[in-house]
Amino acid sequence: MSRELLLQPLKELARLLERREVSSEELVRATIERTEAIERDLNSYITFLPEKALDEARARDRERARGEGKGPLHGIPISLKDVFDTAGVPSTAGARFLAGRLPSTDAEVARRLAHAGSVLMGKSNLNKFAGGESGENPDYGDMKNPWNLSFSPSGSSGGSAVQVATGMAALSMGSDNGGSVRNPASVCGIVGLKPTHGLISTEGMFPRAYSVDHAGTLTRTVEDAAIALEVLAGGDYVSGLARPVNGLRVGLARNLVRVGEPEVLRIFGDVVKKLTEVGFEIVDVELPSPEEMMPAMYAIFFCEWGVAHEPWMRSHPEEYDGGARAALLIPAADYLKAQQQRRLFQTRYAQALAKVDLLVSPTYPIVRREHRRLPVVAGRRFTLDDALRYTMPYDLMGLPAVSLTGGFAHPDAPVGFQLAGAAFQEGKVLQAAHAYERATDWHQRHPAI
Amino acid sequence: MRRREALASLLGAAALGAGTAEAQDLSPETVIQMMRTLAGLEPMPGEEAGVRAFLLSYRYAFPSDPGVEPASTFDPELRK
Repeated sequence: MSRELLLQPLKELARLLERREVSSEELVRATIERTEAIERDLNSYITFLPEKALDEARARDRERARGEGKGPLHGIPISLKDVFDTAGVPSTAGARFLAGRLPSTDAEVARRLAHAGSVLMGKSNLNKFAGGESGENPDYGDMKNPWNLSFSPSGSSGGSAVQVATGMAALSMGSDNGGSVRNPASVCGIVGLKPTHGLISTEGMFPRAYSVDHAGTLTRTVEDAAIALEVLAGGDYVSGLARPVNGLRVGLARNLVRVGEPEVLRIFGDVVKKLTEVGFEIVDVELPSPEEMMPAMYAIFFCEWGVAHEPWMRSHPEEYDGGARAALLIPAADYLKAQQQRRLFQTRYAQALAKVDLLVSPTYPIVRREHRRLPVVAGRRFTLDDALRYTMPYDLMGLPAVSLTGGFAHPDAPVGFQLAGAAFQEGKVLQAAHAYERATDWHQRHPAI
Repeated sequence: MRRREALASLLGAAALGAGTAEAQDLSPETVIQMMRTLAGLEPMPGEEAGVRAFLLSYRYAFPSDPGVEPASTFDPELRK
């Protein structure tokens, strides 16, 4: 089975399975062969489950033969970022000291995907504890960007993005508490959807910071994201994708789109022009700046991180280097004040979204993410705040946002942009993203590996 | 007395949100005492340097707005 077939959208693979032009066993076997051929270069898995996947695939084929097809994910190879609990399968959160952790039950996400007939290929590598956007993991090794192995796929859901970009999975689940689904999607040339806070259950997802943790999808197309969201959250997200977008108003906070490598800003300018051509109306809006929002984000994030991880911070202090245990020293008053300020930010976002249907921005200000070194732009080395400036606000606000490819800075360097909307307006966000995707061919490019 | 001032009074140093000059007073011994007293953590050898760096980089100076009730459970839908 060809590499090209494995790089088809999930929807196309589902069609082939439905018509029995290919069996799930054939699809999974081909996926295993491809994974074994390229994984050594990419380091995208913590736990790869080829035998289990083949057993599951044969069971899915038997079900289909009995007329018990379960929908578009039936027989489709998927992966889970290793923050999602899987019964009887190591669930490490990217930390080797948790390698023996075998949950007794599946995370809700894993349960729903299994119930829909998908085939789990394995548990994806990530930044340890889902922290950071570097695509590094001191315990399980750096992840590599399939477009150029010298660079990072970003993170923290780096392994998931690599697998989807290379055809090792048609869908991977990630988590996002500052941009961890969308940033890897941006530099791997795929689609990363972070829905409204809570729309996809985080039950059984290894916690990072409760009120900013989101589960999200990584797919090769926007339509695939809509298909996955229907399984994960219920509801109808596919049928509205093709609705006309003429006249939809897209808000742009121009004064905030100043930070980024030049190619990112140039491509974003091209995206805005293309959106206009597609039929959207671009409207200037005012939003709180990331500089205003970051202190509140950190107060909330670190307090919740300290609470979520306190047992391990006490039992395994050596796993929390770099002063991470200082999270337990932030005053409760700061946490509550940050929650006050968060509500005020929500008001300002609501005011902007009362004028427009959607918001647009770059996703990730970096073209090629080096391991252990953020770029120097205009004489200044980027910080983590810079790297997360476009994605973090939607985690703090809990609003839905999707990243999709807006162009290429180099033939081996995709660059994403981000569309976001009001709470629970995933349908509109995906509709807009789908319209852009149909007007371009970026999603049809794949890494040469 | 604000918590920050209380901390300073307790520990003899400025703590969270301290200014640059005050930050110089956050000695390793003070950090170790804070970890033990406030969080019940026994510092690992050398850990105080990272904790100190975190505390000095952490800034949260938002003035409380008594009219805004902080959400105890975050709701992404803003309700009036």
